[in-house]
Amino acid sequence: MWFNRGMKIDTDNLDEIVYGTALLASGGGGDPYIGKLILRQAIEQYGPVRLLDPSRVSDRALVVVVGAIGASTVFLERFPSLDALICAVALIERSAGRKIDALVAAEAGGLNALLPIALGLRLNLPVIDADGMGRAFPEGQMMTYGIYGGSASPMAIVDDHLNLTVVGCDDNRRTEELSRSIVAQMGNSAMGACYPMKGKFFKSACVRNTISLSKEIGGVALAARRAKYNANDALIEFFANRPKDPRCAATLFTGKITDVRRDVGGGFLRGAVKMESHAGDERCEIEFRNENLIAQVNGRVAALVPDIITVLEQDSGAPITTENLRFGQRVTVFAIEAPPLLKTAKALEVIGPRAFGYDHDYRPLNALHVRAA
Amino acid sequence: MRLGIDVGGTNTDIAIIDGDRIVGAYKTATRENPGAGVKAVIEKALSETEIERDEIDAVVIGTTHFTNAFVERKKLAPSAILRLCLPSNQDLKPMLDWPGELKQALGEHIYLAHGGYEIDGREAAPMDELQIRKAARDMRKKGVKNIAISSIFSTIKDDMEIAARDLILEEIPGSSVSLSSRLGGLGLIDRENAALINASLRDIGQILANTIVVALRELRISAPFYFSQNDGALMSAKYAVRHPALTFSSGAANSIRGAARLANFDNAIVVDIGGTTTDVGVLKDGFPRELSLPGELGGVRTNLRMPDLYSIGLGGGGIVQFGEAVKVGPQSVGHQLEKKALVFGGEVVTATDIAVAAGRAKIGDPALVANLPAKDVARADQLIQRMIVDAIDRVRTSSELLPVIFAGGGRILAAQKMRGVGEIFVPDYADVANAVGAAFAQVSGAAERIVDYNRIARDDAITDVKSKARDEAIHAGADPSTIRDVEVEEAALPYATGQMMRVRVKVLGELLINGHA
Repeated sequence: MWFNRGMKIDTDNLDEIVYGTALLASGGGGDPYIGKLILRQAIEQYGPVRLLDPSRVSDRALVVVVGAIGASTVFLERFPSLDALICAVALIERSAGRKIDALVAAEAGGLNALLPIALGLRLNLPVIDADGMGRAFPEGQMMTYGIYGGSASPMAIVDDHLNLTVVGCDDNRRTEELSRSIVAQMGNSAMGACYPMKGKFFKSACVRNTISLSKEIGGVALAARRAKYNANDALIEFFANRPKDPRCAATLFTGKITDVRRDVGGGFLRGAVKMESHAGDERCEIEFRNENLIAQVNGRVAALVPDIITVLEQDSGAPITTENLRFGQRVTVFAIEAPPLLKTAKALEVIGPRAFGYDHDYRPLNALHVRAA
Repeated sequence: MRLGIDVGGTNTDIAIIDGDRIVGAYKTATRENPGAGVKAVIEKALSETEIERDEIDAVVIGTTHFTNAFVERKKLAPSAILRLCLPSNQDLKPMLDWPGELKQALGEHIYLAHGGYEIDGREAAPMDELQIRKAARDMRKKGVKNIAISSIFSTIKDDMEIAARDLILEEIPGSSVSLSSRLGGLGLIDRENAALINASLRDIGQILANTIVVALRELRISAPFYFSQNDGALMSAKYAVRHPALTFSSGAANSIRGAARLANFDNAIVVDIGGTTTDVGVLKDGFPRELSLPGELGGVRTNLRMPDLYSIGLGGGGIVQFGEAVKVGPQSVGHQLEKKALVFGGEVVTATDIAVAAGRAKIGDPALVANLPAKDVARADQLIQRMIVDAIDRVRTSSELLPVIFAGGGRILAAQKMRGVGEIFVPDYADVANAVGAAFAQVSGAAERIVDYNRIARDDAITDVKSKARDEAIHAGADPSTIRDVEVEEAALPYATGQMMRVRVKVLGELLINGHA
């Protein structure tokens, strides 16, 4: 049975998965605190949960993506509502004319990696160990489910007053635009269910085992910290030695934040953060749009989207979201190569540097980063 | 003339100021009853100086009394939380993340009712008067008289919290109500926690204020008294009794402001070396730089305004171990320094002994440390200086070298010159910097609001927030004619549509004494 296998999530390893999702969020995903509380409460009520490995999803199963949509700052006041998510799932079931077989996350970074697990516990539905980004991105059409031909529609959007809407649209970008306007009217805090998919397509388009990856990342980093070992080095070793999907990871920079610039517009937080090494002789700059997109060290590009770029607090190793970057923080900049599914020509059209307006072709982290001896 | 008094865990200190001049400063031991300690220290000041009782214009008190009470879970009052949020926020109930014994100490009197606002100030759900009255009657039946009220986005609009408070006061006459919008910032759980912590301390606050009133009356001092807040600014005793949680970091904040005042700087790094720990803070334009992210207090996450301190386990009583690598602290002989340190005839090698052996200070009997091997002394001294330099470097936010001021009894550990830090100052009275900070305190007010610049003009929004901050300062005892803006901060909100900005304003004024500043 599916529930005897797969990664087990319990209250005692919650901190690990929360850490991992924050690291994979690439600076996005918002404060992980609320998501952690929601999941912890669900586990305390219903018991620990095992994730369903994507390989065990049947070809004919109906899979749906669930998560929160809105502004991460609003979620701190109006919490994501599981009741609203249940309504959103019911709307998708009604339009599909059948029951949903499994839930899956939109993104592996931040709150939205945790919510499907809490909902799965509440509805007694399996939650698949996968997502559509392998990290966090700002928009719905940036999920691999859409990039590889899936339709986001019908998309159900429900707020915590249980106001219901369903968006039906051929074009995933248009679905994103319409849903964003609806969510703004709902006070920038709403729950959504979208990308209803057949198991067969889902398995070809999802980024696999990213939720368990979060937990493993947290396990490695937190154990290294307890042993007073450099957590970044432990993670680099961990990524290089994964039997399946080995990846390049690197510490790009260590220093102090000397400037943070932010502009808002179009519902995004754009800006840049500048850092200087402790000796004062090296510089690093990261540009972000909700998530960190491009890192340059001493004027040379060191990492590019879709590779994951996360700023960590130097002492605690805690990932810092782009809205919490502050002048004076001591940080390290950590980068992880994106999973292969994000780096195909098709994917780079939607989530490569040019899609975010940079005049750069994507170059992978291992090609850009020359490790200092 | 003003008296600044710092009631710490170990010592109660006093500083007497006349205009810009310090007339005197004294230390006594903190008493079980803080009022008795305040009385004793004032008596000492009066007997050692020639000031007359009627020359005293104001008494300002900074204290860690409430912090200790909350962290040690002492005498906390049963308290209720009423959250105006329905139909939202049913999943995460108040007090969800509180430690079990604190939940027990306060009781889990949790009430959810309809209400709350959107991020742009629109009403999210109407308030239900009957529901609130029903909750209040239930509280009354259970004998709960301390009540915290929170509501969604109450930092943007506090009307519902105020209306709910009035209903509760009608239903439970004599109850104490704490509003989240007065205590915390954005983030409902953290702000609600601040209100609930505050509610649980109201009885202790009233008792402390009463003992001080009694002490002052017994001393025949008729001057009004004030409390210092977390940012080092002061508030009237009446306001403080309603907001005890705002005093939480007043000791550290006063120390930072006092030290900078003694050395005459508005921007500086202050290193307060005590018996066990060293706190390093930054003074920015006259006020301690504040923590920008939620902090934790006694296991509860809150976003009370607190100074941003970097603390290390280094103090005058720090125990020194000479192994392969030399160690100083974090274990400390603490207040037993004058019994246990070598220079005082004890048998423990402390950081103070190293300072004496290295020739940095003359305390106790230097002959008693003459036998320490010079090499070990040099190693330990180097480590101490390195720890201090590193702590200073951690709070620096730019390559500019700010002046560094040493305060606290352990300041003798520090070298007078250090590489990589700004110019060093060790002013007179640096050991009572906290009391000096209390005596020189001004009145502040702060307000914040989230606005959409597409809907409300930027200037109008800022003017509105400024007037709210002004009102708060006046409530806290400021002379309206002296109020000026010290900080106007705008921060963008991610993911929100439009031009959503969080505007925060802080103002500062002189204390209004007997109707004049």
